Amino acid sequence: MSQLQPVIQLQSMAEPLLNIQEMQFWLDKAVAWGQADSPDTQGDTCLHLNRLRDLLQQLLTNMNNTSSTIETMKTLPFLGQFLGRLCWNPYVTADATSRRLLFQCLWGLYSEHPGNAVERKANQWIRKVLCQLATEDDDAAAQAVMKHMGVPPKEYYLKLLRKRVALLQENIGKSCNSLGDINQRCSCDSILATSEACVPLVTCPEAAPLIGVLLQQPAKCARASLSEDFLDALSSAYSSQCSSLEEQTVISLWYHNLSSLEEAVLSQLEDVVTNKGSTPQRLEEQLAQSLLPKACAQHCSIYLVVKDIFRSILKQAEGVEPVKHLIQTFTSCFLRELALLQHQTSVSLKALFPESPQSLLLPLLTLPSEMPQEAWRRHLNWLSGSLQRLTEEEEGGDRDSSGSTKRHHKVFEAWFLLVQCGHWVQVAVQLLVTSEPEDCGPLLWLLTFYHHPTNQWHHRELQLVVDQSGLVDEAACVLSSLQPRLNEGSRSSDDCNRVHLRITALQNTLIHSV
Amino acid sequence: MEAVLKNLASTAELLAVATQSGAVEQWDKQTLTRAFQWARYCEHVFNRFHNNPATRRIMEKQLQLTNQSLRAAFPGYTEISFSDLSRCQHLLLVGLLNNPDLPSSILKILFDSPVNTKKSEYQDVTGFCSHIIQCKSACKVLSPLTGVSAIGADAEVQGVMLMERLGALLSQSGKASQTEHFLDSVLQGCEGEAEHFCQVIAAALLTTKTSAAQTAAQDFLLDWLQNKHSELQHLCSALHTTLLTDLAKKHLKFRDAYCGVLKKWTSDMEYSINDGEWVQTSTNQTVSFKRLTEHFLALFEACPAQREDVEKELNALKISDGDFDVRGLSVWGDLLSALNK
Repeated sequence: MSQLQPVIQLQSMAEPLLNIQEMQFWLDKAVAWGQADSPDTQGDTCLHLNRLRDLLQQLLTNMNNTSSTIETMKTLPFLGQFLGRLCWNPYVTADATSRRLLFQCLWGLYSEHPGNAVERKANQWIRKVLCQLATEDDDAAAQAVMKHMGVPPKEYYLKLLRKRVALLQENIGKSCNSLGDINQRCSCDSILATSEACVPLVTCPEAAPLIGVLLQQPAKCARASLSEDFLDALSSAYSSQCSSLEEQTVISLWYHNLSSLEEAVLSQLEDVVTNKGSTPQRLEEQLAQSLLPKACAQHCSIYLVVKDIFRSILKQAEGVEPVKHLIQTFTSCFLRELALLQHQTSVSLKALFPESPQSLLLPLLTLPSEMPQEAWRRHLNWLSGSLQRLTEEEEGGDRDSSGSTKRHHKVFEAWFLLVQCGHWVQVAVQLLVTSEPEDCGPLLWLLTFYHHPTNQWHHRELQLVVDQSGLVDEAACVLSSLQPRLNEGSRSSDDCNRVHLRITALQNTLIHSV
Repeated sequence: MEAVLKNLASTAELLAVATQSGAVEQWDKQTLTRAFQWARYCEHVFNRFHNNPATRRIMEKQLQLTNQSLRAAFPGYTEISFSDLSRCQHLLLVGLLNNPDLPSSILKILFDSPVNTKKSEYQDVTGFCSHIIQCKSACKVLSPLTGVSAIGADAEVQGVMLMERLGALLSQSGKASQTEHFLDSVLQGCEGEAEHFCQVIAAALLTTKTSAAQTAAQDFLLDWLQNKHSELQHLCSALHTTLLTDLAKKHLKFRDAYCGVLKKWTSDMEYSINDGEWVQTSTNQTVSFKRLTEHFLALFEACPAQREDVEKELNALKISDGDFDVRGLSVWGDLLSALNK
């Protein structure tokens, strides 16, 4: 252990600490922010807030590596001045993360057992700054009034904050009548400035109503744009769960900010890929909680973006089962949400599924539960046949290269739609198990198509051998889930026996083919 | 009652220890939490009994006794009064933060990130100071956006609080003198910030919540204001005309008072031949003739009914001055002609 320590020390000294130029840049910034109080300085602070947070984190890490305050001050002589200036910058202290990091940096300079005058002085200074921040006021008038009225400062500031938020909310609520005339001034000018000022307030619960109004304003005017920094800050606060936003605010955020929507979708995808053991119910719950289906139901544009993301994922990795399950569950959640809204908005299926083969839309979107069980087989046969025809068109025209991309595209879209409506695939597996070998053709074709849409190495003709992993998994799942259901079902014993035998036979085939 | 008195005494002692004793070195999170709980308790006691003169007197006596013994125990002890109890938590915090013996571990708890991000009223000591700093900073961040209005948001909030305090005092004590005393002390305390206090009064008078208590409080405030001539004059010269006319529209008493002030200003004017204009004779030149005219015109626009009466009065005064139509002889005549241009 003692041999390791000198090595570690050497390493931390060899690592370049913050270089002097960078430090000077930030120090100059801090000075500039403290001096002027113009809208430009405001905007500048908000612009740099992200980088400032990273800087503070870096400083903190450096300080944790050094052994004493004296050493830190040697390597970063302006650190005290810098931190001190930041303490008086309300944009830095309003934001939860930068405030936390700032205070942690201050504590980094604090010595529990000061050994010399410099450290004692540093301690005193830190205590003084903290005391002033928490108890003093530069608004002498307010302080006088509060003192003589016997109002606790905390209560006053909370009320004042809520009042300011309410006033700003009102201002934004007023619609503007400029009707898109860019030269005419309107009240929407303030929206950009307000959104920028809210960058450090995304984690402040009292500011949440204002943020909600900013995001949900109808924005008919060209001037009513939101600051990109604001949207990014909000998005990262939400994804790191620092900020609890209302449902509509989140949905509006996604509507305004593509990258936050992408992040939300990708995090769901990551989740399914890493947690393979989640049950379908859990997946549904998770998706509902994520608010994505609801958002898609409210805004067709959001739905199209989400689908695009799914589409590109599938194009890269068509065989990833958890992803396909996610897409299927997502689509059913989405359609449920859409049905709830249907009396308010009337979006046509064509608008929601513009690229899918129209003839397949309704047949695939119809749920098995919406159809009598006896009709299932016929329906699936029809589906299988239609899809087969589509793929034959694609393959048949391969020699003619001009239209081939379009045809490939058509087949892909058809397959994508099938993935979204995966409930029919599950029905197909169910029927496979309970049917005679002769009726299997179209069903097997459908399954193979589902698992392997590209026909490069597999033949989709009639197959009885189940040597594709996807099909094996699927069949195994369905079989094991059917067993208990049969045991409790109220079918005739003959049926039961037949199915039992069939299941056992299929199980044997599975075991022997893998 | 005895228990409450005992608790008050104990909390006063607690405050003294927090502010001046090295005993805080031993404090841990639990001690800190308990200390703030007691401070909150005192704030509740204040809110409950401050309008009850009899109980209040008993409590004040108790605090006097406690102060005496604490003065003996702690040199440089600052006495605590009953009205201080309304801000007990703040006093505790100030005391602690200024106490050099406070361990850094306690400081760290106070400045840590607040535990509950929800708007719950759960009072956890962790992040007590962070929360205050967040609110203050957020207020500062938003203040340039609320734009330039006649009354700032801060004055509005303070106005509402003033109304609440007045309402509470009037509804329970019934003694006007106590409420008057309260207003006097607030006025005195804001001596350095007179203009701001004018805004607070205006905001208080313009609050629109209509309850019987509110109306009574506003009425009381108006009566008080009418008796404070210098404050009233200061208000009329410091505030924006729109604000004054809003007040005049809302409160008849104010309209009359405002008119009275304007007339007084007029009567104080003398014609300066050098300037070719009427100027105020008093040492603090608060208003010019032009401004005075603007005041009158704004008032007439807001309250048209007033015009006839005032013009009649002005005319009568002009006649008493000799009824000349020459400029510079009668301020009333000149005022009338300026108003009728």
